Amino acid sequence: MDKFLKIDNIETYYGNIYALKGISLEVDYQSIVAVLGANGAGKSTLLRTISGIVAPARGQIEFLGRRINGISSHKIVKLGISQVPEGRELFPELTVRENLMMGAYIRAGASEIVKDLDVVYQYFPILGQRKHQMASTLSGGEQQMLAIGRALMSRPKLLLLDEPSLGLAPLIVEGIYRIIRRINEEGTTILLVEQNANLALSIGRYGYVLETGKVSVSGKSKDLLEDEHVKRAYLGR
Amino acid sequence: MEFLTEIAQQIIFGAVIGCVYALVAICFVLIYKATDIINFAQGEMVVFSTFISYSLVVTYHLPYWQVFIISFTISWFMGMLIESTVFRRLIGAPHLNALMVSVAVGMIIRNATGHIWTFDDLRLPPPFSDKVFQLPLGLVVSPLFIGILSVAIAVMVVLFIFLNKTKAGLSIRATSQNVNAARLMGVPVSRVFSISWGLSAGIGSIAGILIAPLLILNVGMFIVILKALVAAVLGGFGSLPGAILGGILLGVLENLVGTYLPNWVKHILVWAILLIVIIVMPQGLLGVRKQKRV
Repeated sequence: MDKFLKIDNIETYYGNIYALKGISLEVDYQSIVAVLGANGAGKSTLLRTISGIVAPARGQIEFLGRRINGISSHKIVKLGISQVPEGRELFPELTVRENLMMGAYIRAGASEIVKDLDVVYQYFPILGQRKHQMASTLSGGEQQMLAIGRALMSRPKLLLLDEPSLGLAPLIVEGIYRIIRRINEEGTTILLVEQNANLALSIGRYGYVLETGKVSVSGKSKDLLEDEHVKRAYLGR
Repeated sequence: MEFLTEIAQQIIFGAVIGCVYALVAICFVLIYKATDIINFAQGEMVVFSTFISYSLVVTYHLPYWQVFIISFTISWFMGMLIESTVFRRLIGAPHLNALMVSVAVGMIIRNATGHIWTFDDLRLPPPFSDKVFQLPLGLVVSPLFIGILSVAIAVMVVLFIFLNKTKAGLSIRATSQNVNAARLMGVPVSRVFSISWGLSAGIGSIAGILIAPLLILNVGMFIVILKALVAAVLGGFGSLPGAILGGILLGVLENLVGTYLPNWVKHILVWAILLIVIIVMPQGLLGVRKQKRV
């Protein structure tokens, strides 16, 4: 059987910066895979490359047996890959509900879309209460919830999450990770990028460590948690 | 009493012209919000469209409601063509490049208009009768003024509904707030850019038909249309309600000054307002703080 997502030796320039220097990575159907690394290691560029926002100079990305590098970002969303970008990137002057409707942009069928609004409001009840508020008036945690809800509105097969814990209080992060786990249990495959290695390895079954545009270590999360280099550099032990 | 009546009369006249300024100011804002470009070719685009309307009215004798539709449609495609052939290639380039190119595009359109039609003065027959009738309190209006006001308001209402109640409108607003996020949602953003240009050119064509009967139609009419840029700045560049408010205010102000002060004051007034607003209150009346990220 074809791999769900298979990334083969991609190299990406981000502007003039040689950001990804040959990265290979695989994600199994219905798994959670974590990508760790410091600032500037290329984590976000990796997700942007998968989403088709930047094109890789070399290498190949296959999703469900189909080559997706080089096709436009809106077609990639239609194939079932949705991204929660770093810094959330909401539409500040649209309401919560309008932001969610934008998440369903590629879909037809208004009644199904409205049903999915309720699904998101079940995951995040606070969004239901604030559906008519502008996104810019939400707290950081609520904005992160909205960004995740918005990505779910396209009914993705693969959800890309870029630093969902960034800038949030530990209690809020815990709540968001609980929902991420639930989204995964309900059938969505997740590729998670995270600076917080403890967090990422606690949720992902498999992990990759990125260092200056290359995979330095990869393996099962429980093995990475015991890896001397990972411990020293990322777990602070 | 007579003096008050005259002031009221001039305010009404000014507001009618102001509504046309408002329409063109909306064109500036639509393109700016979608693509970050201030389109200095807007005036020439409106004039070109108005010459098309002139041909439809005078040469082909079409009824005005058809002229509005055909002129809007042709202008729409002209706007999309300009976007796809010229400005799409400047996405990501410094803003100054797009600005200078828009001046060049304006020059080209202005000369093309003159060579296709004429550099001489023409008269566009008014779409509604310009015979005035009496109102109470000694005020007078003409069906033309009522017509201009009604069409301009109708265009604004339809645009408002389009932007706020349709999926295409929502995607235009979303793209103007965050292009990257719109891409991630699967919005084909280059199509949004070209729709914004089409919409601006189309609305501009309506503004041209409305204002030309009050003026002389020639290639120099672009300078009148360009005053709408001042309206947009006065209202707060980037704000659609601001464009409407700025347009009406500018029309009224210009008309009052033109009535009571020497002519030269009127001629520099608009551009003086541009200077003062940009220096003293660059955010304009209803301007929004530039807020790119949440």
